[in-house]
Parts: sequence; C-alpha cells; structure tokens
Amino acid sequence: MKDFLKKIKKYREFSNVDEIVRRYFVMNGFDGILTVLGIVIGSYIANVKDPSIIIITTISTCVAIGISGFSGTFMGERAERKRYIKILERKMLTKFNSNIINESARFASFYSAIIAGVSPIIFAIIILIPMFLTSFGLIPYIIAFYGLIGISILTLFVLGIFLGRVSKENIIVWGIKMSLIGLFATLLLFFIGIVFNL
Amino acid sequence: MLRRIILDVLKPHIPTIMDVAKEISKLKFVEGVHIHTYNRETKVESVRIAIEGKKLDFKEINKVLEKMGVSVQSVDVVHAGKRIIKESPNSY
Repeated sequence: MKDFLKKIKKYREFSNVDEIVRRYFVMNGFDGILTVLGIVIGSYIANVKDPSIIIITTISTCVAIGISGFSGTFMGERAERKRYIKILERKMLTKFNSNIINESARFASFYSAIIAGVSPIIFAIIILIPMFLTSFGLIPYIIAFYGLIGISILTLFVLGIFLGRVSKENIIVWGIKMSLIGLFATLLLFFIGIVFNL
Repeated sequence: MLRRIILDVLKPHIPTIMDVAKEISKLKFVEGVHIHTYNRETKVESVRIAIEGKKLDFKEINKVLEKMGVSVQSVDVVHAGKRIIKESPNSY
C-alpha cells in the first residue's frame, strides 16, 4: 500500500497533473452546482414540487455530466499527453517503451478524468441534502427549496475559498465572487420563470 | 569489472536530474553518481552521468535509465580493473 501511494505521488509529480486536476474539479463542480440549481428552480417555476422527481432528475443529469466530464477529460488529456510524448520522442530520436513518462501520462489522463467525472456528482449530492430531507418528510418543500438555493450559494462560497487558496489571494473576496455568480444565476432563472409564466 | 563509467545522455526536463540520480543510486552495485547538465533546450536537456561502483552492471543501469525516459547517446569514459586510473589531461 505504501509503495502504491509512493508510486502515485511520483506519477503526480512527473505528470504535473495537480494543477489540471484542480481546474477540472472546480470547473465541473461548478457545472454540477448550477445544473442542480437550474433544474430545481425550473421545476419550482413549472410547479413540479415532488422531491423524488427532482432528486431523480438532478442526479441522473449530474451523472450524465459526470460521464461527459470523465470521457471528455480522458480523451482530451490522453491526446495532449500523447502529443507531448511524440514531441519528446522526436526530439530524443528514440521510441519510448514502458517508462515513467508513459506511465505517468496514462495515470494523469485517468486521474484527471476521475476527478472531472466525480466532482459534479459530489457537489450535486451535497446541495441536494434539503431535498433528501423533504423526501423523508423531515422538512416542508418550501424550506428545502430555499435551503437548497442557500446551500448552493454556500457551496460556491467554499469553492471560492478553495480558489482563493489556490491563487494565494484573499479567500473571502474569492468566496464572495463565486457566491455572486450563484446569486446572479438564481435571479436570472427566476426572471426567466416569471417571463415564461406571463 | 566495470568501476566507473561516464555516459552522455539526452533526457526530458522531468524527471529531473535529482530523480535520475536517486533512481540510479538505488542500484546495489552503485557507490556514487554525479550528474551534470551541459545543454538545455525547450523540451530536453543533455546531461553527463558519471557512475562509480565496485562491479557496475551496464545492462541494469541502462534499464533504469530507460525506465526514467532517458536515452543514452554515448558511453564516453570507462574505467575497469582493480583500480581506477587517474586521467591525465593529455590522455585524449
């Protein structure tokens, strides 16, 4: 197990994958959060207030986003890494068989794809907590609805803190920036709903 | 019985020369490694690797280098026998 972790650490270091993974994590997490927000507000406007329908719709949509994220990232990363290896081989006038560069490139594609695939699903499940509570009959729907919007904005704030730490800037400013995006999306969705309901 | 070899190799920037040195020194028969970069290009760099030991196994060394994505261009210096002969500047 220790050897396995050591190997992974080495692959991460050699493939310089951490930076890319952070990017995919935030990007796809953002996708997940706003998708859930969109579906939930859309359902509310369309007068669909059955939590089980909302949960099933959002989770299946986020799984689809996850699969899309996984496959898109995997193929994109693989192509980029293969290109890099081809350039190296040409520069070095050699053909790589199985070496640490090949292995870490393979690892990097897989690792970033997993993060890109799992991130929207995780975020979706986190912000769907109020809906789960409603489906168990613990809280009324309206509280779950506004709670979900609140949790989404809070999750975006946490994601902003994470980005603030990555950029080594003020984490609160980053958090607020991200929350504002969530707030803007929410207001826009309500506005669209009002327009359609006219 | 190989005692000391100097290789001229071409390698990508990553793994670094520190990684390569550590990997070579893990070999049982290796007593010391010295790596010196003498040319850096955009994606690759040329380095000179000196390896010392009691009974160097070139095949094993080459295997490690291949595993690290390093390609041996030439074997520039070889020392073999019971003792390492000190090189004089006029020997080449």
